[in-house]
Amino acid sequence: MSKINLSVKIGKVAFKNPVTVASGTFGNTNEYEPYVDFSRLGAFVTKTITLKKRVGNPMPRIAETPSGMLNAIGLENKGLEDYVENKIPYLAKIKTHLITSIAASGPEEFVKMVKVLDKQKVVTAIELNLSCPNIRGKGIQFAKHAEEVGRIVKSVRDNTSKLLITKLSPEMGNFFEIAEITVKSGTQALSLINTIKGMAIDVYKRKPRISNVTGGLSGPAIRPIALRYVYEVKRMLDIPVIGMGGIANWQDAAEFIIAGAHMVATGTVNFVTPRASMDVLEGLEDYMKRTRVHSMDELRGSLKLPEHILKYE
Amino acid sequence: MYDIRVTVKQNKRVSDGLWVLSYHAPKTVKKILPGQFLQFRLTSSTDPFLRRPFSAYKIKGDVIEVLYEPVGVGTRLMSQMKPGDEFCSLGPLGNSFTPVKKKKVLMVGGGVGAAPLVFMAERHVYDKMLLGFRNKSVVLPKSEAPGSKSNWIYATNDGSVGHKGFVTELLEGILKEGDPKQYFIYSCGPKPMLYEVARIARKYKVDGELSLEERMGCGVGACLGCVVETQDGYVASCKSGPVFSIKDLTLEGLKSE
Repeated sequence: MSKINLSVKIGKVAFKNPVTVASGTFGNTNEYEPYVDFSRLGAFVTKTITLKKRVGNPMPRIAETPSGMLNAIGLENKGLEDYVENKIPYLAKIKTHLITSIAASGPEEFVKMVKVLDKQKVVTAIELNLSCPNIRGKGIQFAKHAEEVGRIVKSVRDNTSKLLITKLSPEMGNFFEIAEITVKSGTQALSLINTIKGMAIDVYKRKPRISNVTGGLSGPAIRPIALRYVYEVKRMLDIPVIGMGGIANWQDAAEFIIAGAHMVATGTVNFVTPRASMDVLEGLEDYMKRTRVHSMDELRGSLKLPEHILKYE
Repeated sequence: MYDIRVTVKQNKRVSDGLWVLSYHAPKTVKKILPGQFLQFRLTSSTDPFLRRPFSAYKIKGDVIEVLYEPVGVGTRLMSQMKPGDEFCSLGPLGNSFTPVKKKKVLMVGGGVGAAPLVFMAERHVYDKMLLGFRNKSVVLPKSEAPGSKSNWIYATNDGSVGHKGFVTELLEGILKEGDPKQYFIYSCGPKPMLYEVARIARKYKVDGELSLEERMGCGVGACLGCVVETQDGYVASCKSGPVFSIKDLTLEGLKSE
């Protein structure tokens, strides 16, 4: 039997396989080095960075919930300069594509960051995190208005030749309108989905279980919702999607690819099973062998829809 | 660091409320040091979802023992495990206590926070083991002491065993009596207790180390869900800790949430 072709192409970039990791769930450099051979990943995605250092939210920052967790870390990171000086030298040694996730207060700050990253050869793609739900007050805001999102994506697009990915959350007001405007403004792929806002209360203390009160829900609990967004966006827009949200094994990953995703990312499950991305990769390959699928192109978007649904197309 | 599938050897009560679970892990036992911890994934189900961190309690040949009290979803599930049952153990994780010479070591433990101190006592000389518990039902019995039992001193909130009151009162009593400079403290337990230990240590100018029991996500420094405030700002207690020098932590950061 001929070898299975796991490679996928987004824009002009060829990824060796469709399996990557969700930003913020795989550290910034060597945290998972003892467990995963990074070079086997389709891409390595770092935790969101901002222009200046951010200390993040007070504790408690996480709470376990059924089949998932809430988090309100608050984008703690050491800033762009530290990333370039101290993280990039390590990341440059990883033999796979690097996707750098960034967040900023508005178009000007995004452009400032992108101009710096554009000079970094090792960075393949920039992922715009427009959907972190755990930020309050001044500074970085949750981008909620379609025009604002359009302005951000357009101004970034005009200032970099890197592959441009935008990460969206169902929390962002009119989701499909926003998805469409990011595509029109020049994004080359969408990461779907970021966490969904949730809450948990300690009934004895009568206090919220995380200090931010609300946090982003992630893990298998949100997977059906994530899958639905990937499916509906793919029905509506011609744009490559990196599917994520509760993917914990190869079956989950296959669901997203069949729904139309170019790539898939393991997220919160990395905290539970450090090797999860590798298990997904090996499981997918084996599944394709067993079902005689030879390439990702063949599997992607191969969802068989009922007649009565197709009739209304 | 290894993520391995292991088999329960024994899972037994050592008092009414405290349990010890043991399992074979030949590679892990060679590396693990007192203060380091392990992340257990007890079920392949996604509920409970996250791993649970446990300090190593004792090492017996190829066998690791952990001490726990069934209080939450994870630990209750753990108390139902039987010899032969499988689970996943990730570790050893985090840093360890720094052995000291020429100082008399005072160990101060609260509840299952006794675990890493007993492991430390197994490997190093110490002067006194001060242990605090809520009441008699959750006291770690002296039969669990490695070597001499005479230097184990108890405090319970209700006075059912040992001193009535907090274990930190025993600590302050000892520091008041002799020259505090001769001592070094190792401590592990709930945050309000660690706060008191740190406050007393500062007052008497005694050095020491605290092992924090923060709730954790990943255990490897990736999620930043278990940060603790140090003099240099927040750090992940799973990766930069769980053991910290008392000097490096802020009292404010040890205040309970």
